Amino acid sequence: MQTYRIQHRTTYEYRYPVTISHHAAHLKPLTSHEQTCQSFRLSMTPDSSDLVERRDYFGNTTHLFSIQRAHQTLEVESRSHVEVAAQAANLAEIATPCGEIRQAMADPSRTDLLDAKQFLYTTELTPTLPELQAFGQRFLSDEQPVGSALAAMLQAFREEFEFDPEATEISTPVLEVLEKRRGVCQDFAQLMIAALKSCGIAACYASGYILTNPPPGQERLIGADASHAWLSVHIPGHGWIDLDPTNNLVCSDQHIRVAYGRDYDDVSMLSGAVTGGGEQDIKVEVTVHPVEI
Amino acid sequence: MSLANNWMGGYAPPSGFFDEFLDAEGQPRPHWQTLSSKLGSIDQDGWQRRERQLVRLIHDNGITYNVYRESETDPRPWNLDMLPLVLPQAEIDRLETALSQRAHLLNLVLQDVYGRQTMLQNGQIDPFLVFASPSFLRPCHGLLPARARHIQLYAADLTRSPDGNWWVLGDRVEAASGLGYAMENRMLMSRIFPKVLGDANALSLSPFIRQFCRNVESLAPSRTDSPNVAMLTPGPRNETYFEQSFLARNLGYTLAEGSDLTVHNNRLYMKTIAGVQPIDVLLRRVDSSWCDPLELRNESLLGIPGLVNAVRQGNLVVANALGSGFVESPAMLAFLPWFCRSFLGESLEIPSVATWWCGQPTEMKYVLENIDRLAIKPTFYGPGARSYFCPQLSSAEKQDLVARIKAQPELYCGQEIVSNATTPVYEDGRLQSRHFQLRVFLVPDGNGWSMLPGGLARHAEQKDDLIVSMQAGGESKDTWVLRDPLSKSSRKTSRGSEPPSIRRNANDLPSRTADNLFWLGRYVERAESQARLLRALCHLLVDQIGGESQLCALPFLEQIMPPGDDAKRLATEDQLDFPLAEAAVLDATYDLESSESFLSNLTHIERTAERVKERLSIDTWKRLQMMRDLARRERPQTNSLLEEDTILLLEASLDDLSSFIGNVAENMTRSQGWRFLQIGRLIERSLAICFLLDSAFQRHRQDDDLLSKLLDWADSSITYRRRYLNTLNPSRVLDLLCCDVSNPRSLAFQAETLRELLAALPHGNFGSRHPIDQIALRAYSRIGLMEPASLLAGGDKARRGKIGAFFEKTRSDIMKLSTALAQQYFAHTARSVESRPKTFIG
Repeated sequence: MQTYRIQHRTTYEYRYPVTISHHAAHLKPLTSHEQTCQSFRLSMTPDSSDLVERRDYFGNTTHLFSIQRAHQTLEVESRSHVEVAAQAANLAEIATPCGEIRQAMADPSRTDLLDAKQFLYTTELTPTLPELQAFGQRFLSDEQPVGSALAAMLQAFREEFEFDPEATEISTPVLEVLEKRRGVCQDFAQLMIAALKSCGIAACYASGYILTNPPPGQERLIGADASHAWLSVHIPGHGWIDLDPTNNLVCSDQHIRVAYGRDYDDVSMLSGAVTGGGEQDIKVEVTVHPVEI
Repeated sequence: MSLANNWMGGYAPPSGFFDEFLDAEGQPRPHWQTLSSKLGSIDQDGWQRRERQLVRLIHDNGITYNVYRESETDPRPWNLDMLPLVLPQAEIDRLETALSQRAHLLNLVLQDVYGRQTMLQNGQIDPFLVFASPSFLRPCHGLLPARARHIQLYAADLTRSPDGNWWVLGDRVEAASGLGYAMENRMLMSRIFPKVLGDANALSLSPFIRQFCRNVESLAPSRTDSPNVAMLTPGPRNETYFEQSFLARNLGYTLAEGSDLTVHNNRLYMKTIAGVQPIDVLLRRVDSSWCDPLELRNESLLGIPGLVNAVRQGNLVVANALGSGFVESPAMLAFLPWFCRSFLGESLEIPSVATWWCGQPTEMKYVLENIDRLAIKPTFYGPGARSYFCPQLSSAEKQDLVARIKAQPELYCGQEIVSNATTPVYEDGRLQSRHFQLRVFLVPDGNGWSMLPGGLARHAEQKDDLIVSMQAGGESKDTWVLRDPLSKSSRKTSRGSEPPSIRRNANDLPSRTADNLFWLGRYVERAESQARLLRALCHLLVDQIGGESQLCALPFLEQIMPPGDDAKRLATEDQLDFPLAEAAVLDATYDLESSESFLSNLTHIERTAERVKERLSIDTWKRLQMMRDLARRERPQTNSLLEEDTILLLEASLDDLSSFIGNVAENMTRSQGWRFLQIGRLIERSLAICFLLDSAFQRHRQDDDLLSKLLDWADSSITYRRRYLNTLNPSRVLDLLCCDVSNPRSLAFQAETLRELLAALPHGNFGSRHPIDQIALRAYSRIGLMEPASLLAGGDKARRGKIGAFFEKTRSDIMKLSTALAQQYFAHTARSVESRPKTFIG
């Protein structure tokens, strides 16, 4: 169990005045059996008069708001207080053969798996392609127990891929990430999701945070001081397991969960449609403090 | 019945298909008998006259169907066959019953998918068909109340098999097109066959249209007597833009593009010149995914950010509901019989064309075994997804398709190819058969649905073509449903001109439309002024080849030179270089590379007019259509002005432009739209006068030749001569062209008229003097106070300085005025409503 105080500030600087802007935010941490969001505050400068909070199709909290006044700078800040009780699953114990999972997911009569099946199909950012299937099949062959297969897959990300913020952009397709073997957390998460889907296994995209400054003696994780992304894979009989390919980790209470969706587009922390503005400069500042109890 | 006696004899439809006109024995079907003798008695002259009339009506009304094809930049004129598709009322009554069930069912499917999802939970539908569908829009889940109606306008594509039964080829609910074309086809037919249509007892389309409007208006979330309805269009480049603007005009709703609309405090507003106006109901012709870049496809420029949330907050109704395109998937056709059983406990009253979804192993096997006689359709429509008509594929193409189906079977559906029925068309004085399909329309009516007693029939281009496609060049037909004297239904028959009533709110001019009208005015005036300049130059150059007086062409040449090019290079000290000047005139006329050339300007007019088509009267529109043809003229091969082509082109353009302007003056309501068009013209004319007079009086010697050419250009020679006889005097000419308020081509006249028009625009209501009025007043006063004699007095240098300063300041004010207008009225963005309560102190 770990408690965190999170501050997340996004600042947009526009070249020309923006006359109207509309935004959607997935910033409020989830409350689930693994985690409790104890407090949350969202503010923006200039202020908005029409902030609406809702739960989206996937059960995440979404905020919608607009700024109806000309502005050249917009600052959106969220502060939250979250208690995370999640424990890391032990992959070695999960011995279901991959082939069996594939079969269950492909069986139209398994309506008990509907919640997982919505994360089984192609999206624009996580396509199912032969190349991705070939990559996945290296680990996920029919007889292979899924736990060790996933562990091997995570290991492969650590060994064969390099974290490189310069190599990709938000729009870089996962196939290119696979070819270049470089990218950031979002690329690795989406690549692993796409590979799993291409092999008939359901996986979803997770957006959230990890601890900024690790406890003494522990290594500082990649993705701190920014928002982080990983994935969750569904194993019939076991449920969802969160995996962080960027850090070769099975997630536990170091990861703060904000939203789950099919890919980045479903849950991007802040998105908007602005009128005017021209070029924009975006600055993101995130701090995650563990709270001593 | 003696068919052989008239020209309709000899019609021989191919065997093996149902023919709409002749039965299996070759006799006209009962409902055709009276009509065929009426049509048969029209002689060939009568047909040819009507054919010409029809072509002219289509051309003059600008009825088009745009096809996205690189080779075709011009919208394609609409094709309407002169023979209607004729159906007896009993047939339509049966179809109405059957299709009502289907519309009802599709609505239930949408309620379920966007609500409780029992179909998924009970395993009645493969989750792939929902979760992988790009038309299943997650932000729209739970958007509407559980029992809400998702479909307000349902269209179905029908075909008839050889046994005479109707089949549904596809359901259209996303942004069903064709209703406007059906109305417009009826309008055309009522013009060319007024008597035949009346005598035939064809059912009227109007009651259906009125029902549709009543439904739409009843959707308004807050009860009001006159809800504001707008129709969202993807814009003039869309293939069915014509019918969108036609429908909007005939239903009395404002046609709006995404950029005309804005969401504020979770309400939808239209940006009009008088501020923003709330919109209660939005009829959309934009596909759902493109309607809101915030919650749906984020790259969409067609949509309105925040639209989905406005619906979610209960402040807006969109019809058809966002996300309803989900049921258009060909795979749905395979599952509808099951849905019908489970939702309604009934069997489908009208079958779909047999369809197999390859996502199921047995179905895939069947499709692959029978692929030679099937059509293959994508499970989901999207980029790159297309249908294949397998009998037409080469064996290599077929192999490729089979491989793709095997790799991702769930993305494909196989569909039986129906032997479309045939119907006669009129061609070169004879009847020819064509295969056809029929698009029909239904709207909710009480607890049920009512069907348009008509529809849009489309037939193949060639006799033996089995595929009917508008995209591939097919043609259309009006559909007449003949009243059954024994029928109890209360349908009305078609009389006189259809369709109906137009209501319009006077104050709803969208900012974008005002902007376009303003620019239409500017382009029209610019073209007119250019044509006058070029015509003057043609005369000058051609009439006086080699003469010294040609130098007076220079101020005119300066007006037509492209930016950065100096007219000085066209002349030596005392002689004009004729070939160079000639080339400059031809370039300025024909060069489409330069956006400033005369023909480019005609193209600007055309493009701008297209965007405000629904604001222009038919007659005004006709004038523009004529200019369209002129804009396609080509530079004479000889490259010579001695050839008459150029002068004739300019004369013809001036005729059309002045008849357009005349039409606007005579026929356009003095609405705000009209004012913007006029303001645009006045601004442009003021600029043209300033530029030419500046050049003529500042930089050149005002000899008699130049002065008389200036008077000609300004159409003021007669006035001048009446006043001053033939003595040409610079300061008198300047007075007439600059200061004389009674001369409609003088600068003062423009300034005064501008002031009057500006006073009627809404900014006057804002109290203190608005920058627009300040600038206009400044320009007006400067022009009013100018004294030609003192401006022209003094030494060369001083005079030039004074003239230059006067025109420079005036020009700059007019430009500022244009900018201020744009900021006040055309900035599609800056305006927002104040949400403070209306309280006035004092």
